[in-house]
Amino acid sequence: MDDTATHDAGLVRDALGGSRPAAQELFERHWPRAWRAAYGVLGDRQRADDAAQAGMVRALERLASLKDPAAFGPWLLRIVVRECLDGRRRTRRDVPLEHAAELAADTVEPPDPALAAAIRALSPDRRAVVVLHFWLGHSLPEVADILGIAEGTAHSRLSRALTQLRSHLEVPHGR
Amino acid sequence: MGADLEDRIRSLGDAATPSQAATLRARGAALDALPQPRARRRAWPPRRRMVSAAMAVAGTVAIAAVLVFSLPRGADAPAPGGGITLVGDAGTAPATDAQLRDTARMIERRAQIMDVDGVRADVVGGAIVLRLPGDAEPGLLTSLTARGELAMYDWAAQVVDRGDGGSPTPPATGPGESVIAVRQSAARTTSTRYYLVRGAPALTNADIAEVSLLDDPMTTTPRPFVAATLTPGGERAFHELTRTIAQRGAIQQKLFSFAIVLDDVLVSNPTIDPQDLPDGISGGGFQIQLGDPTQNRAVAAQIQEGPLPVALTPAG
Repeated sequence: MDDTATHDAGLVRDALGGSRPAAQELFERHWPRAWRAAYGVLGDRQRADDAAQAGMVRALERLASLKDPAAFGPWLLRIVVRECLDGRRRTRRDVPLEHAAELAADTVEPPDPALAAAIRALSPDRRAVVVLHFWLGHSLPEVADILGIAEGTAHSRLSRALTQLRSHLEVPHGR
Repeated sequence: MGADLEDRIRSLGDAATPSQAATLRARGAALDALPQPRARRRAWPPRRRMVSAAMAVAGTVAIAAVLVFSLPRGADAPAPGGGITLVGDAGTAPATDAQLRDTARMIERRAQIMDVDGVRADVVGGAIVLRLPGDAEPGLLTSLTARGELAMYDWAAQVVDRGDGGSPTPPATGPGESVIAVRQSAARTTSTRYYLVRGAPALTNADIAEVSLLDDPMTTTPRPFVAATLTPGGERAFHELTRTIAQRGAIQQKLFSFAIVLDDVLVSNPTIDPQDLPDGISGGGFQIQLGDPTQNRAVAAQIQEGPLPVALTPAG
């Protein structure tokens, strides 16, 4: 077990014991990755905000059901990605007027818009594999575990996703 | 090679960071979701109310005053490693030893909240001897020893002389009156105007349940907030204050504001748009954003700890 997982295990136990600081530290450690996963899968900042928050809330609500406290990180990602995939058919809500300024401040031009568009064009299942593997650095066996799919499925989804991205970007295969 | 594409994908992921507002909302919601019996547990304000409150405050940051603390001139001279002797004034009489001891402990707790090590406050011979770390930042002394009195006022209803821009010197006060200083900056110059306030503040430190200093280390340009949540009584008072302002604005078809004041200095002057918030802001709390992390830490420490029992001035 690495240091991160060991530390997480202690925080989970403390949080279950009622420690708010421990819960807050869990949040601080994992929120950026949870949000990044949601943003990668959904391709939309506001929907990522909602999905990542919903996933984080659900994780803390159900903290007692986590069998291995050291596995909080992957467990949270599983919840968040599921929230994204289950909720992806929801239509975008109208944005109330008072959110307009926040939205303006939140509109961030991706540094590589062509690639961002290509990733958005992937199916959500493929996007999830790409995001977990490349954005969050999980190995394919870990990705498979998080998504609840076979390792071979994770490999094939990643391979097809890369092929599709190359095609979309007109990058020669193998370059 | 294929690594080029993979590197591009990784770089795109590295650039994806959540906004401060989303982080703030999620943190509150997540911590409230933790299943535990807590007497002080409160519902974090729903997204609409929280964002509205944040915008109400953030929208006036441009005219927000830079904090000016009330310690007399010269008191903020750095005294690295040395002791500074401060005498206490309880208002109508010299401070008692018990008041000074409480004040000393509060100063040390403020230092802890501000994440400053090496601050020690002792009561010696009817005064407080304060020792600061050798690498103390300028302004630390004033941050630690400022009184820390928070007050919120209905600007249009309670502030006098608002039409002519206040007065250049503090006006005389009568019973139930106080003065707010407003420092304004323009083209490298600053000026302070003083406004007379009538009546008790709508909210004070006693209405604050908890203060958090929130920062998002993932953003390239961090925008820290001081986020305060309110007691049940504070929530009712804040709702009443903002509802009154919203209803007045709806009737007169213009924007009105409230004043957030710390130690008689205006910190922020948020408006309430009656079209967005016809019933004011119910529940939750408010945020103050000063831009300077040191100032944010100082304000968070002062509001969290509440006012010092005595006003401090340097001996001699």
